[in-house]
Amino acid sequence: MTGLMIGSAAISVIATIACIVQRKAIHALLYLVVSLLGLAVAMFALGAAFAAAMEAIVYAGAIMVLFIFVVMMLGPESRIPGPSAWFGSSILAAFLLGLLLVALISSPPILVSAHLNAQPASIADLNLNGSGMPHNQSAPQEQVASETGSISNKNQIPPAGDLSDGTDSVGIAVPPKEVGVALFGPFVLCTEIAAFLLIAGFVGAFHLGKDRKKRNEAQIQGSSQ
Amino acid sequence: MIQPTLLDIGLGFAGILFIIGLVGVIARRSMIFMLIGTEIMLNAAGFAFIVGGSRWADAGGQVMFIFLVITAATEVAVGLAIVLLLSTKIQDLDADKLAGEERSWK
Repeated sequence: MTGLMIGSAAISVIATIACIVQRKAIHALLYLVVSLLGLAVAMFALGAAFAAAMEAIVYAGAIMVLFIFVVMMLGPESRIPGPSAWFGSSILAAFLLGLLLVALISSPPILVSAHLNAQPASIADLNLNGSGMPHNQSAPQEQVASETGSISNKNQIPPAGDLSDGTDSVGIAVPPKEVGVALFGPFVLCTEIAAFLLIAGFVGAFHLGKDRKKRNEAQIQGSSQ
Repeated sequence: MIQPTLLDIGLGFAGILFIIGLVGVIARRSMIFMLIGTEIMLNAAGFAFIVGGSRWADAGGQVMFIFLVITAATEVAVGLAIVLLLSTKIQDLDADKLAGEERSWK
């Protein structure tokens, strides 16, 4: 899994370099999508499955589609890009897919981490149990609620993440359940501020994007009548 | 010889990505490419958060990454609205021309 992380991050760096030296914006965006997907695979290998899904869905999905939408609207590149546009980025994406397949075949339990190594859990266990860890069930409920469950984690986890000890340990997996508990536990104020920020961004984009000329004409017509 | 830990490798990749994004913002003149460079830099910072959260088994890294994605989405929405406004008003996305500075070098 360490190899998966390093390889996908290297592919991401290559795609990013290829992204910023492109002449046309649409080619750069295609490389940037590959870069974001590579970084998502690296995050997955590090054990941050929820962040990897966010990266793939929100970044490579929504934000990049917004970019491509605007670039195609801007005129000179509004043609459908031909095969020369996406050839290089698809080669990089194929490398990324191969890396992911090799990692999947060579080590089936994907979410292997330092504290799951003691009792290997299958992916089905993780899906059913959310965290897949016994210590969350044994921990008192109020501790999980108040301290996000991750603090009780730290007692059991050795300072792993070293490559020097010879084990194939990558980063320590933080399951999505803990992220959700932290997001709506101690970070709930930040979550609400993020909601404010999203609304402010929405209003700002709406204000900037509305058709002022048409509106002014309509106002002039309305006042003249 | 000291073996690099996973923290070193991850933070090294995050730093490389951040530098690439910074070079993209500084070197390119098109507003779209400057926005892309900003995205790369935000993404690198998020990856550093993920590496740290993975090293210390803390959910805070992923929580900060979520906030960073929200910030990036807002920034892209407003930035692309500004780009659309510029392209309809003055038909040019060159940041230097927008600042009123002619390039002395070509």
